[in-house]
Amino acid sequence: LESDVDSILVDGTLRLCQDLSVDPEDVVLLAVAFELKCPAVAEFSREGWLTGWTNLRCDTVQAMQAILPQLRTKLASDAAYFQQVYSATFDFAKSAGQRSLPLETAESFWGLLLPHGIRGGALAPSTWTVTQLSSWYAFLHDTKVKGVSKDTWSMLLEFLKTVDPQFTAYDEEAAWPSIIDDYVAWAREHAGSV
Amino acid sequence: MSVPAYRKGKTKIKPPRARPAEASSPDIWNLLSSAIREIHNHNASKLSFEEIYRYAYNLVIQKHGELLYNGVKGLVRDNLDRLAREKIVPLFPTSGASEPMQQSNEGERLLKSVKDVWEDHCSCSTKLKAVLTYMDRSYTESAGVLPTYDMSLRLFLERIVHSSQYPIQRHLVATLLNQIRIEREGYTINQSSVKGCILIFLTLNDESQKQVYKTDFEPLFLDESAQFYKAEGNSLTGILSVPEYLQRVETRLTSEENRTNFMICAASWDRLRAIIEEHLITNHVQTVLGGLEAMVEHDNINDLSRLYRVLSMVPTGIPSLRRALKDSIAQRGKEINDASLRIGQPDGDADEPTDPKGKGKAKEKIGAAGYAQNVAHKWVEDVLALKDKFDLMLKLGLNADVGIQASIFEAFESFINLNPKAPEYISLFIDENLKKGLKGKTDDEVDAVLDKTITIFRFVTEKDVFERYYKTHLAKRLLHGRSVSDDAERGMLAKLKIECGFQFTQKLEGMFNDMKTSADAAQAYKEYLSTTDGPEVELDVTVMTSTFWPVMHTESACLLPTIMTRACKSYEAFYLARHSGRRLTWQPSLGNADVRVQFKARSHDLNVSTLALVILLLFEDVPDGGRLSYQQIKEATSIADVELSRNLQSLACAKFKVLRKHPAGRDVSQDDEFSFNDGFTAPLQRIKIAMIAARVEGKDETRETRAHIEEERKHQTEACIVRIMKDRKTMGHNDLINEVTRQLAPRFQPNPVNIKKRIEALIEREYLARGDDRKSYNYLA
Repeated sequence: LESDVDSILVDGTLRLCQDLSVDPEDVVLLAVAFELKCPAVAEFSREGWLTGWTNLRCDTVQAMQAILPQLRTKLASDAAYFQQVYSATFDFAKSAGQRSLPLETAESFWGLLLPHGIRGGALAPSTWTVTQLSSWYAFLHDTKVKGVSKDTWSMLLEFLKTVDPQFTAYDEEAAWPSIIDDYVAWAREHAGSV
Repeated sequence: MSVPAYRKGKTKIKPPRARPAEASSPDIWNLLSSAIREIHNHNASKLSFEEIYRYAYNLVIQKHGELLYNGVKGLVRDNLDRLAREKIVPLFPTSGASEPMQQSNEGERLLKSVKDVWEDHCSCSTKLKAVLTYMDRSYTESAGVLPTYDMSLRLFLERIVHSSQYPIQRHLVATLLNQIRIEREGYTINQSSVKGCILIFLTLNDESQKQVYKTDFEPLFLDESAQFYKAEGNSLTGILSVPEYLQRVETRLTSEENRTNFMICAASWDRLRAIIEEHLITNHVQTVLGGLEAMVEHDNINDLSRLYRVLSMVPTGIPSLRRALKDSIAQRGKEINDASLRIGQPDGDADEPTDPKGKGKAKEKIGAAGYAQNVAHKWVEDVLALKDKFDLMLKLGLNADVGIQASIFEAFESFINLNPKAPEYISLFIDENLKKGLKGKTDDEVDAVLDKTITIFRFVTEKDVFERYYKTHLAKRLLHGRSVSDDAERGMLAKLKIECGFQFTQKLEGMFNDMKTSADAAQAYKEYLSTTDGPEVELDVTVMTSTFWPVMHTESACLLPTIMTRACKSYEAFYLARHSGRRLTWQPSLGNADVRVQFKARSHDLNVSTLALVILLLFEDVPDGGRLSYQQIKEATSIADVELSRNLQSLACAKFKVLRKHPAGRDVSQDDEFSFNDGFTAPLQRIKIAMIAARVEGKDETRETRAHIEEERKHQTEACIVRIMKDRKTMGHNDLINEVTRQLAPRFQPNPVNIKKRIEALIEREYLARGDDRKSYNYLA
């Protein structure tokens, strides 16, 4: 595992997943990426790697493997932890030099994180179900949104936590980003058909 | 028997001779009671007050107060019963009479009789009171009974007014109400008997000290009045016109007040007035307001005053009036707006049906430029006229009511801003005035016109749009020398400065300064030319500082003939020597030229636009009768289509056809050909080929202008947000929106949604960040 390069890239990442017996698409890897301060997808820096595993008190593959379930559970249930990983995921997922995430990328990461958090209670007191999330994606496709800004990414989580799926608690005059305003309007219009 | 003349001894004082034994109480009583009966029979003068007083006195002394009191009471009661029977009951109205005067007379008899009985009774009671003073002093109070006078009145109440034997009260009240009703219907009645009977009610109090007027009469009176006025309100609103109805209302109120105060009881007036107001006014406010439009239409100040007066009396009156006025203005404003949109289609008059109202809208064929002026001018004049109309109405007819003034203001603001071309029209109106309209007017008159324009301008919310148009129009005026008076221009500018602040007028002032500077430079240029070889043509240059002057829609690219470029170079050399570090860009589309053109008949001095000159010069090399096609001209001059066709039109299709168009016609198409019109003639030697005056924009131009405005607004909004946040460091969402709106108000009304979008853009560019509470923003240094 310890090689002389200063970073682990795609191949290295895949091998890592094999060694840890974890699916590369497993959401826990996002927590790992957060802990190890990965600059981008499938990219680990030496410094981040060393510091991160040290903080997690893992110095062997077995230890690393063992800690994964803990991280997975923590990510599902600990609201603060979820928030941190979620936020970091945006920076991690976007390409360097870009300001926003392409819609597809955003969707796939949302698809990993949000259901996990919903099921585990990290989004409490949210009443959103996983199926209801599809209305958000439908809206984004319908209105041909191209990219997702950091603001949108962060505020979506806030939105899911504080506003109910029927939008009774929603205040248009508050500071929600206009894309969320548009979403609520769209969802109300398309109620029942999504 | 003889009494000895001399008697020794004491003088004996004999007791007085005993009077005859005091009469027994019953006897005294009999005497007294017959005296009282005499009083009742109006024979009081036959009696001796002193004697009767004594009877009473003695009875009281002999402890027969009770006997006396009750006896008197009985006598009074009997008398009253008799009076009722003899004088009142017989006069009860029969139900036979139906005609008002008959009813009135019958009723009058009853009332008079009751009044007489009452007055008589009062007078007797007074006499009794005097006679029984001692009893009242010594017996009455300790016995806990009413003093004589009060007792007597109470008896009147019991035996007459509230008689259980005869339905006096019922008839009395009914008759009184009937009389009032008859009088209300316009007939004359005897007021004094009514008054007299009501006085009875007013004087009498029942056992619980309540005034009988209040218990027996007033409620019924008010009810009856309510019924009457309810009916009157309903029927008259259907019969009378609104002004007549209002007059009737006022008359009614006056007469009712008089009647109540004189004949009935002043204390009831407030309640009665409230009833009348409710039934005649409040319940018919909408109907009454139906007549408003006619008053407004014909400027009926008097009717309007009355309307205002009457409606002021009730709480819902003035608010409803305000709404109705707003609607009236909205309707008229809409018509003015619609008219401007209709006339604004230069080709529309063929299809339009003649306006049925036929208010004299001329439908002559006017040139495109003429339409521009007409539309804008008409709109502004119409709005000004409307404002004058309502201002006058407000002042003279509506008591300068502040609330109404506010409503009028709102209504104007509303319809003016519904017309997206309002800012443009106002600018054009000013433009026309500053070009020729104010010619010959005194300074005061000029001031007056400009002030009026400002009042309309104040209503406009999109002041930045106005600024854009004003700049463009001003530029054209300055560059073409069309201002009628420099003072007037400066005056207008000063007014705008007061309205909008110095930032608004900064650039405009810059434009003025450029003109002045250019004039000074022209002097220096002349001197410069005297020292070197000048160009063949005389050049008069205006140098515009680019940031001050508006971006002209027209493109300036144009291939100038050498003769003209030489002149330009000459000036450039002069200018750049004076000011290093500057760059000059020539704008041929804005200039004009004087040129002498030789026609077959004679030569004329023509004043044409620079581009037109360039076009004409092409024909110098064309053989007689030869033609140039549109495309050829375009290629040779590189003038863009819009400008090219406009200039060709001015040369070939207007009044002075210096060129001929093939085929002839008003509009220029790209397939046309042109030839020099050698046979051209005109009466005057000097001719001005009209340049297209400032005109109302076509759809494309308007779209472009709008786009520019929106862009600018985005920048202004963002600058404003940044400015505020830099100052406050942190601010709540709603507060920020409100503050931005407030600061931008002098220029335009920003949409909160757009402000939000700008905030997000600034977040994206990391000028701002969301606060932790997600409801506020922080400034990122």
